[in-house]
Amino acid sequence: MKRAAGHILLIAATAWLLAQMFHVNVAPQPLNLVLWLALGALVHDLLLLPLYSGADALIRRLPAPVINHVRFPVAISAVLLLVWFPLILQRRPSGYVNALGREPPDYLGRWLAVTAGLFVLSGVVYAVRRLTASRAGAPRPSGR
Amino acid sequence: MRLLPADPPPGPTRPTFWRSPLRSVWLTSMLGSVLLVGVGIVAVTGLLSHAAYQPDLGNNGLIEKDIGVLVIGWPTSPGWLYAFTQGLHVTIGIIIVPLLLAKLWSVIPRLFAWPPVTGPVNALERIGILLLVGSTIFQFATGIANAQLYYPWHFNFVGAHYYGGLIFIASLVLHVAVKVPAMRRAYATRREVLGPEDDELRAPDPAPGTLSRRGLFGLVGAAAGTLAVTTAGQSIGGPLRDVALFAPRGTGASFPINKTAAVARITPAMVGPAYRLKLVGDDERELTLAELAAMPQHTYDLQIACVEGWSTTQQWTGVRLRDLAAAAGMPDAAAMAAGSLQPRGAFRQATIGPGQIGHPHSLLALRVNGAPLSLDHGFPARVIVPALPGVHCTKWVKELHFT
Repeated sequence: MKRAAGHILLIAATAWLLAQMFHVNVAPQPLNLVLWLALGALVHDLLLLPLYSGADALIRRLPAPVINHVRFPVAISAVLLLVWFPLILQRRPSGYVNALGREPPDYLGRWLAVTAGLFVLSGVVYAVRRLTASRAGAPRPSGR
Repeated sequence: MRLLPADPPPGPTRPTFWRSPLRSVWLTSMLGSVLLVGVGIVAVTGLLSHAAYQPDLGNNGLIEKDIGVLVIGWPTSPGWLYAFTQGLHVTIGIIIVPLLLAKLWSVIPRLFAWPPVTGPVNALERIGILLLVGSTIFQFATGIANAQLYYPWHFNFVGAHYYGGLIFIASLVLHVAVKVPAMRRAYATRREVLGPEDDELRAPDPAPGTLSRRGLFGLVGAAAGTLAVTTAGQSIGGPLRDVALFAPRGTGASFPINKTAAVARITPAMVGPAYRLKLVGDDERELTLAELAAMPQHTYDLQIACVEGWSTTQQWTGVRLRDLAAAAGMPDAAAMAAGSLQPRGAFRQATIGPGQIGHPHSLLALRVNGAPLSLDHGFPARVIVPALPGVHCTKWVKELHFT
């Protein structure tokens, strides 16, 4: 019952905060704000998560010793893209250059370069592991 | 009356659909505990940023009905205070994204729990979770987009991010209160002992493992580390600034600007020989730029810090605000409203309090790094006050109103 009371309190507080939020100064188009509040969770749970789970399932088809050496750079690069896609894909307002007073750097090129670097790093780690494993004469531990 | 079949239909509602051997209450508790520290820092520094804007002064308030959580008098010391709190807010907010993704991934089977609702209390709990996840993603998405000047929505960012943050904090507090017992149990029990029947997140039919639990933490850490290295430099500075590859500001030769004179519609005529600074207080008087330059000048290294996370320290020279207050006949002014030549925009004016007017390092700057201000940096004169958010350090000052 304590839990239920806590949740009722939370829902009431949220409803009140939303009422404040729908003030014309904050949200001239309340529906747009509602969509943004609700759609984030849906986009993540029903689109983003199945998408990266599917990508991971493809990676898992690779030979076992290679899996994580592909998984790591792909996942890190994808997170960089998720966070910085407005810059990387140049989703900037028309006044951007004017507002900052300078041309932005080539973020797409930077992202590609970082991604390439991550793959190279991962490849080097893989090569070193193989070398040390074959030197030791022991069978390579294939990821659990 | 039964509306839904007792057995879940094929697909994600069946526990056997989820096969990762990594999911467990212990893993979620671990990810959740670390994430809690991160979002805790982001939430507190977010509220502090709201306080730093001093919405209770003059026309500073940007939100019609500000409910004033944590609105405190914002100090001037230490001078790096806002750079620090806002740098933490933005940088931590960005680098915990992988942790948030891992946490959400670890609990995804619960979204499809069957039956979807077991009773009224459960329904309330599920609404609570929806509010938590919805507001979390909303806060991360709007904050990170704002730092990139990306506004794909039709609402006011400041107001929505503020209220969204309050909804997030309220739903998080309740969530933590509800989950603490489960976390304690998970930490107290050796995970090997718990089978799927005792652990609602453990896969009943796990697939062969391809990544150890330590490997998963390593992946989250590596992604967070990459984000940190490519972002934090915009706030920390030094050699890290050069590797802040994705920081939207703070790279390049000169220090950043947020709004050029062109965008602010400042024309050369406005700042030409006809320029006068209007001082309003007990007396009202106008000063030419030469008269301002003839007043005692002071030089300090002061930090300028943006709400978007970047900060930089430069050497500023100008007239102390308290000298200008005295010149206006208000040596003990309680507030100073600075007005800009800028004809439009929410930040063409800002009000500061008595501690900020009186601080010896608070300047109406005429020069930066030994040279007159450039037009984009606020020529002929701009306000610079220790620990004040950059956007309140009014540029192209036309009028100082002491009350």
